[in-house]
Amino acid sequence: MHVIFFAKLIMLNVFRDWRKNLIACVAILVGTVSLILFGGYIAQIYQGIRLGSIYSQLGHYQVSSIVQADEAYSKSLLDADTAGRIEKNLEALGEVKLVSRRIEAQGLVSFGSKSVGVLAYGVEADEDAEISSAVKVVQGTGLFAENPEGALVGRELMMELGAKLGDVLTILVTTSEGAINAVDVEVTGVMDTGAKELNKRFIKINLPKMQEALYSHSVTNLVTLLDEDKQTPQTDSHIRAAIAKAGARLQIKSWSDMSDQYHQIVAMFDNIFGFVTVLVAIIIFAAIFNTMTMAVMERVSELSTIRALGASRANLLVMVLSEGIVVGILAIILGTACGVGIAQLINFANIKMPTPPGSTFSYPLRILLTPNILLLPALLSLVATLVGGFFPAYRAGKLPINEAMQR
Amino acid sequence: MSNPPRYSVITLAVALALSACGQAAGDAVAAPVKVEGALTEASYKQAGSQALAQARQVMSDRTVTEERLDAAVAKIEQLLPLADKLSVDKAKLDEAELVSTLGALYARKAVFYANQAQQAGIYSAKGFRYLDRAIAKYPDNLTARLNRGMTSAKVPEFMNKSTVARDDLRFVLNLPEFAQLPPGLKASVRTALDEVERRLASGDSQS
Repeated sequence: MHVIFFAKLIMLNVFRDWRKNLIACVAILVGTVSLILFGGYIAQIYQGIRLGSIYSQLGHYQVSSIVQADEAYSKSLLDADTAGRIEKNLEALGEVKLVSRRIEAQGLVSFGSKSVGVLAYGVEADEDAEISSAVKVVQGTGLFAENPEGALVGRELMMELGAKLGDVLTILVTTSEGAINAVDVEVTGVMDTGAKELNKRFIKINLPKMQEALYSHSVTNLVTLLDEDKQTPQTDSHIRAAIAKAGARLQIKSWSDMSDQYHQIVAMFDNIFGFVTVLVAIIIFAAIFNTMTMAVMERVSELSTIRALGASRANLLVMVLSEGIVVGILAIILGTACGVGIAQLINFANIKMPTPPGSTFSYPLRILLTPNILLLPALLSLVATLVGGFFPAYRAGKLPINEAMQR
Repeated sequence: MSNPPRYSVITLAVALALSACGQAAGDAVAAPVKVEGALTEASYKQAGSQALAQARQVMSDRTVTEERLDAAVAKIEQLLPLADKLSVDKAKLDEAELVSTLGALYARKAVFYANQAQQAGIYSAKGFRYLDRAIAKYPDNLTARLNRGMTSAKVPEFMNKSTVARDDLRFVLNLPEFAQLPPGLKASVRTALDEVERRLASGDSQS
């Protein structure tokens, strides 16, 4: 009965001062929405960069040979037997979607009177298409094993060479034994990797063609793509154990080890997000503090009367604090609903973002919504509300009854 | 360089024309594709025609559900490996039409994941891989070019497919078979090409 009476009193007080409470409610609501949208935007950026790194060419893991700085190029190659063993071990794992052989080499591409230094990849066409699904074929077609002479050339490299689809390019590389060899390839497609600097130097050809150029059946690395839905916290140790079993002198790097850019961007945005979060928390704290302080100041006589009727200091503290919590919870529920609604609107509006520096891809503005992104702003707003409401509530409990009733 | 069988062009044209006119295909799900009797060139082609018809019906339906799209995808995916068992030139088995239609279906499936960028990217990449495969093998096939050109014209600009769309649609426009297409479809191709060229000219596109 006592509890019901107090609950009723709290609700009546909240709605009696509805104008002041509405202002606090709006401040909390706006703060919650801002945190959801900003947090969702940043989470989308993280996810975009992570997937962009994995599906541009890195894959989830790459296995290669451990090479000392002074060792010959041939030492850096994985022979066919070792590569086969690694493939077998990796493909036995449920999380592994595919393993693809690759040769990464540097060389020269010549067309007409022009020669350009390039980074040339020899790849297994179908597997590489999945690993490089973020690389866009902007002209012609991708690589196919059925067309062994085909080449996929970076857009800026094509412009520099002045070549067009169907033209024959000559690729010069150093063979595994250190000699120079050349092979002819036909441009079947033009690609955009998303990075202008890479587009200027990048060419992909079929793996057998590259092996023909190198006079070798070896590869430089094995790229592993995982099934995103089947990954578990143990996946990393499973992969490393499988590689350890395949032989010595092997090193494995995850996409995270290879993508410094990802960690730099995450560190930068974490700082920005932290700063914004503190600002929003201060705004919410100030709004609740102001509203509750005014409510207490205006109701000194009333609160003292309640005290005189037998309510304890703790009762009064809980009552006033609960008023703030009711306002806060209402605002958080509304704010979360508004945040989700606005995020969905933005996602479907297909708003185009400016192209980031050094990139050739623009991207649509998207807000990622996950339970964490919704829970964090709600919790933060609730804590700010509790802290902001505590001091005025404490003050209400400390009011001297005699003095207060004389006002 | 192979030329498509004429009936394929005409059936595709009718389906795309319906699509261009925005005519819904209704809720009826097409009958399952079966290779009737022994696997022969004729039975395969008949099953292929049914699979393509189902795919066109699905593609022309603006209110299509993902389940119906999946059913159309499954039909073609079940059919394609059977062609390896026949010692017939795959061009005669409508391979270009089947593979490119499969690509267009996957690209369409990505629309259902507009809010899940990763999944949308996977389906879209898979779709364009099939479209590319059809064109890499049959560069002069009208259906394959039309499927890739129209799909590329419709995807969002950030996918950088405007140049591909322009090249394919121009190619289609210059094929002699283009004259045989229904007026509605021809108009759709011209409209899509105009739009893509405008986009490229305005420099909005990244292509």
